[in-house]
Order: sequence, then structure tokens, then C-alpha cells
Amino acid sequence: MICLEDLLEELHHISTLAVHRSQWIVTEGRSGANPVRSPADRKFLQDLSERTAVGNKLSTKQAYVARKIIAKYARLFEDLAYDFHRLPRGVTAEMVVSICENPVYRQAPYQSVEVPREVKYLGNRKLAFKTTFSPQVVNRIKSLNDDRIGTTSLDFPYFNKEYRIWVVEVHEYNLEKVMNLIKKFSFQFDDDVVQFLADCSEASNKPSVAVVSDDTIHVVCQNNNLLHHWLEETLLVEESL
Amino acid sequence: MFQIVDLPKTPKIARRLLDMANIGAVKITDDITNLAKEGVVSQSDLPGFPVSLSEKELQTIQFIRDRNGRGVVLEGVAHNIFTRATVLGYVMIEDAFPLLIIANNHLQQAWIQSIRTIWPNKRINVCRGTHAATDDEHVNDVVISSEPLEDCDIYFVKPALLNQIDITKKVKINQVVVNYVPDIGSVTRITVDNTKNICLEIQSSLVIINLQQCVSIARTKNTVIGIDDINWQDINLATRTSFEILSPHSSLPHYLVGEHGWINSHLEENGITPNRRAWLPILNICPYLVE
Repeated sequence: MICLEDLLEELHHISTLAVHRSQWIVTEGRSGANPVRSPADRKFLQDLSERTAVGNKLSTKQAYVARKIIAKYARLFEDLAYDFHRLPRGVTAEMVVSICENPVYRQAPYQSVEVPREVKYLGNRKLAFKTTFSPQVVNRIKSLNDDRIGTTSLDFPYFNKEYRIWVVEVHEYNLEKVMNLIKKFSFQFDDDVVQFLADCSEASNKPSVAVVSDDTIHVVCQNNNLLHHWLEETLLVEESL
Repeated sequence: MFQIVDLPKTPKIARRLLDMANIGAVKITDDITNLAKEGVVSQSDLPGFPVSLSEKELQTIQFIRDRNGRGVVLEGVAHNIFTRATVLGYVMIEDAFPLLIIANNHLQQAWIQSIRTIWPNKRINVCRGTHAATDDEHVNDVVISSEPLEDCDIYFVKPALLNQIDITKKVKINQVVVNYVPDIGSVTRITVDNTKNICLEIQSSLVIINLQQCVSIARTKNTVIGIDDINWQDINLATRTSFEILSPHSSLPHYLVGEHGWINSHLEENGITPNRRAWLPILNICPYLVE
């Protein structure tokens, strides 16, 4: 009986081959168009097949994605005339699709933990992004840094291991990127995040102001790092000495 | 991007925000303008001075007081003894002894004369390192010694001797006044390099610099030198001193370095006519004694 892990490992093997489709000649290690066209699919197949080949289980979510990908490339199993590593001869696309619809597993998948992507406002222009590991998302978060914003901000974004969150400092140069990240990867957000991002969007059109408020002088710096640095690193430091 | 900072509601903070308002960096309300007018220094606050103080001298005292005794006083006249007395007067009124004055020999005498006219009873010690006599020498009630004594109010030391005498090890220094130091390295050594050991004991650092030292050679060809002639390069003595000594941990210079640095680009982008006098207080440099 063919199980899903067999199809997964076989498709990974196919993806490592170079294929000259016009001649239906399969040649390992030579150049040519890859039958598994998507680099993301190839990476996924490689990562999972390396796990299953040594006896590890798939998660339910990994199994779900694997079924989608294998079904997408079902015709490759019959188009490519070569000696299958794990499968018997005569496997058809219909058989592959059928296995994907009603899969049998070498080892029963374990239940995936569903952690929704979420973004929270931490105060002081910082957002916390919580997400399960995804190279795509992590790379996008890392790219939110920008060396134009001055020395102090080079420490962001950073990953807080204790709370397992990415902390991002929002400024005028990465505001648009931050909003795109939230939208593209469907991060859930609350009213505080909406209010913060709205305030950020309006900041460039407002002057910085200082007003007396009860027992303090309340200063709102709008798009003015010079003023902010002077207030925090000169004025307040001198006051504390 | 917006940031929110809450500051203590005091007249001196209000006055410093006025400085920021003067360069167009922040809008302030009438409440803050009115608050800034409170507690302003007047002649009656300075009974120790034998003569009336000019408005500029009062402004200078106010400037230094608002910064808790930490700042650079830019002088237009190199040997104006009364000006130094004015500055010293503030320091003394705050009763922040002992005081360390870093100045060369000929200026030390001028300082001592000024101090004696105001505080005849303060014990003064001039540390001259190995150049002093073997036994302590008393000249006009001033003790000259090789090592600092422990029970004096005011200490004098030459900049070059700071490497030989670590005065802070023997004496708890509350104030450092530096007078015309061409090499800020010696000052940096005592106020910054040893910060871990003595920062709590030095409550303030006051640096007095002659305008001539802040002007490039090309610009000194002018017969009349003003604030607009100050060289704003990062090697500028006044700006370097103000940050290396007064705000060693500040990242503000990131925005200020260079003749064509943040100041000028900010002015251009915002269509503001350059007003370097207005910028000096942001750098903790007092401009009132330059004319």
C-alpha cells in the first residue's frame, strides 16, 4: 500500500532531477527545467522528506500542505519514465490524487498546535509580532530594519526568547512595510494597534507640541528624532544627575 | 513618527523647551512661556557680588543654573575677570564645594583675586605637582602644595598636571570649572575616562571657552568675530567639549556632526534662516557673553 510519506519522498526525489521534457529523458544532476517548478514547494518537500525518511512524524498541518502539493504535481508520477525509488511501476495521476484525498500514513500525524498570528502594541512605538515559525514571515520582519533611522534603532527588530515575540520599532521609514506585513500574513490586531498605526500615519503632517498637563509637561514629538533624542538623552539625563 | 515624553513641570524645563522652540523644533503653549518666566535670577539673588550685574551676565547665570551647573560658557573677551567671577558666583551660591578649577598659572591668579573679593574666607589650594616646594607654601592665604590637601574649598590645577595629580582620589570634587583649555583631552580624562569612579562626586562641569578657539583660521582674518564665524565641524572645540564632557552618553551628536550635518540640512529642509545663536543652547553652549 502506497502511503503519503512514500509520495512525498518520491516527489522530492523527482524535484532533484533535471528533466528534458522534449525527450522525456531523465538525467540526474544535469541542467534542465525542474518538474517541480516552485522553489517554495521544493524546499517544503526537501524539509519534510528529510524528516520522514528518518522516521519522524508529520504534523496534521504539514500533512495537509503535503497532500495539496503532491496532488498539484500528480501527473509527474506517470509522465516521468524512470525507476521509482519507493513506488511500484504503473502509478497513475488518478491514483496519486486518490491517495491524497484519502491518505494512508506510515505514521499517524500528530496534532498541530494552532497559534494565530497576532500583533500587539507595546507602547513607545513598538509592536510585538507573535507567529509560528515561517521563514517567509521572519525574513519580512527582519527586513523592517532601516539604517537611516539612527543608532538606537539598529537593535530592532529583535526576537524575545522569553515571550517568543518579534519586537519591531515603527518609524517613518518602515511604517508602510509594517502595515503590508500585517495585511499580507493576516496578523490579527486590536484597536490599540489600529490607533497606533493611524497616529503614525498622521505624524508627518503635524508639528511637535509641548503642553502643560497637570504636574508634567507633555511633549509629543512628531517625526522629529532630534527633539526626541534631546529630550531623552540630554534633558532627562541631566535632570537625573 | 511620534514619540511622547513627559517632563517635570518646572520653570527651568520650560526655559529649555523655549530654546527648542527658538529653532523651530517644537511648538509651545502660553502656559509654558509663562512658566518659563518664573524663578528668574535677579541681582537680589546674588548678594555676594560687589557691583551690579549686566543683563547678559544675569542671563549667563540663569543659563548655567538651568543646567545644574553643567555647560559651556562662550566668552568674547579672553581675560575678562569679572565674567569668570560671575560664573563662579553661581557655582558658589549653590554651596557646591569643593570646587576644582582647571586653569593655567597666569589665569589662576586672576581667579584667586576674583574669589577673594567675594569669599575672603574660602580655603584655596593650588596643586603644582613636583614643581611645588617640598613643604606646603602659603602665599596670600593660598596653600601651594604638590598633592591636593583634603580640607580646602577650592582647588586649582594646571591642565598639564591633571595627568600627574589625580585630585579626585583624595578630594570629593563637586564642581569642575575649566578655563581656556586648548586640549580637551586632559579634561576628558578627569570627567569622562574616570566616570565609573567619580561621576557621582562631580555634580557639574563648567567649561569656559574663548570664541577665538571656536573659529577657523580663515575666519579669524575678519577683524570682528561673531557667533556666525564659529566652525561647526566636528573638531570644533566648543561642540566637542559640550558633548564629550557634559553629555558623554548622548547620541545627539549623530545629528550634529559636521559643517553640513543635521543642523544645516534641517534648516534648509524647513526653510528656516540659519540662526546659530539659537542653536548654541541646544548644545549647552551659553551665547550671552559673546559680543
